[in-house]
Amino acid sequence: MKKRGLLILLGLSLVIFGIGLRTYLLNKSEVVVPSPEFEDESCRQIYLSFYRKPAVDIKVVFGYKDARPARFVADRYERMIFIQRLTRICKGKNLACGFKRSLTDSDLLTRSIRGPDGKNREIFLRAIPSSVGADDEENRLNPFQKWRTRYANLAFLQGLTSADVVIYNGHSRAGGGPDFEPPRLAKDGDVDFPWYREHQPGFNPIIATLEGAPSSLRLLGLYSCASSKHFLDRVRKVKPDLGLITSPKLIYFSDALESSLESISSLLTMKCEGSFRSSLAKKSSRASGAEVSGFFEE
Amino acid sequence: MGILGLLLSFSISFASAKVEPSPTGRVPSWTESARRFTGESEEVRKKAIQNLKKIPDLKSDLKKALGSPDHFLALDVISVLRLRDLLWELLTYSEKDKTGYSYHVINSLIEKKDEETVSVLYLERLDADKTSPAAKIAILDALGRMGVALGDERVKRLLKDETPEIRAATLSLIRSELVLKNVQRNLPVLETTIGDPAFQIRIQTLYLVSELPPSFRRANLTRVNAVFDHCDKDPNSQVKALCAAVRKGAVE
Repeated sequence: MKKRGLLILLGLSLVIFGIGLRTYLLNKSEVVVPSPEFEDESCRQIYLSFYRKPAVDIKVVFGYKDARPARFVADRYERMIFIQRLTRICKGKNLACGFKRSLTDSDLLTRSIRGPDGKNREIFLRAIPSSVGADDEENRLNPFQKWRTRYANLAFLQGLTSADVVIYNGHSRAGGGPDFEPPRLAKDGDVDFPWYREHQPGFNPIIATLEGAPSSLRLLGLYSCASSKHFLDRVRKVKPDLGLITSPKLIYFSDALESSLESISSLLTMKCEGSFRSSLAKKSSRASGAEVSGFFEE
Repeated sequence: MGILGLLLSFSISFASAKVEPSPTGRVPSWTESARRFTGESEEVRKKAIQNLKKIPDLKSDLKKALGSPDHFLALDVISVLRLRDLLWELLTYSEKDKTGYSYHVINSLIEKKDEETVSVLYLERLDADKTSPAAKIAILDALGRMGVALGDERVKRLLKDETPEIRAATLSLIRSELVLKNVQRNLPVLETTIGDPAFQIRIQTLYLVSELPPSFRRANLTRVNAVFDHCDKDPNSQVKALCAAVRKGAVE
């Protein structure tokens, strides 16, 4: 009897030990991030405000990345690289990693972080493409393309009022962008830039949305060529308190990708102004050229 | 339409871009010139190409740059200058290229006569677990353009892949066959994809059904109705509404 009792006790101990060991090993695989230390109180207040809700909504919308006059359209590929980076196991201090994908929504990725007050925050990041295929000529004839364009456009505009962060990675269309659909073409098959400059089909809705509705948006990233010149002042005029990330120069696509990832990591690691700016200009990761304004200023 | 027609260049004309002249008259580095392909005027782009052709060890520099932070720039140069003699290096390198971008450049360089050989390699890479999702999407798109049949077993496997973009790219390839090339195979897969966990793929399926010629729908009425019976009760309101619209034939 005594022997049987000891055996049962041993068996139970092994089971409990096994469960404990499994839990330890599972937790060990996650990088444990301590609560951040802020350089100054104003930086801490900025992030207390940014992380005021238990969930943070980030929308990253990839615009229709045609390469006219060629037929190639690239945003689906760029978005896949972006998602691969976000879902890889975290190493080091960069937190644009460790995201899990939703099974029911292929645009949605989530992860948890510890907020500025030490409490958990859920990050809901949506990475949304604009194109349905790699051939601009074929996309124009595909009814699914119209749905993709509407969906991306709506996600962007809704994000301007209800998200915490919206990032656009796409074409400026000479200041008439952003753009989520196959471009309007001139007779030579190239993009009809004069038409975009005149009609502002992408930019006017941004202004109408920002002017027309209350917004919880804290940061708008416009990763498109010369977005500082095309968009910065005009957005500032209608929303002077909005944080903006823009590019003063033409921006190479991989620089835009790196910079988007750096900006997401900087928000998740709660970098203060100096570090945030440096991360956007990091030569080693080619995240060069983008500038942040209005996010840290009171 | 061939791969060459699709991938002529990565250039975009942008007439009002301002370019700083080289102060010393030196030939810019290959990376500086490569950055001039994007968003600059045609004149600037042509000058960049001329400068690249002056660099004596350019091919050696480009080979070294594959896999480095200058990877994408190197690939752009190889494509724009049509350096076909680097094709072998690219085919070898692409096996470990997680970004998949080397496949786009390979596609821009190969000729019709190369397609059979390349497609065999692409199918092997598609079947390999270590090939990244980004690479698999590039491969699937290329195989679709080349008109390569994936085979039933491979299609079944790809439509169960954990990466939704791979499932979507497979469905795109099937659409290309059914709708654009009138190749009547793989229709049964729509009964699988209408039950895909990701709502975007169920939407994609319904748009594909909406494009099927009426005679084709009539000839396959049982299968098409099975798709509608599934999506009639879809928990996602967009899918459910589109299901009703496609059933009625009321989709633009």
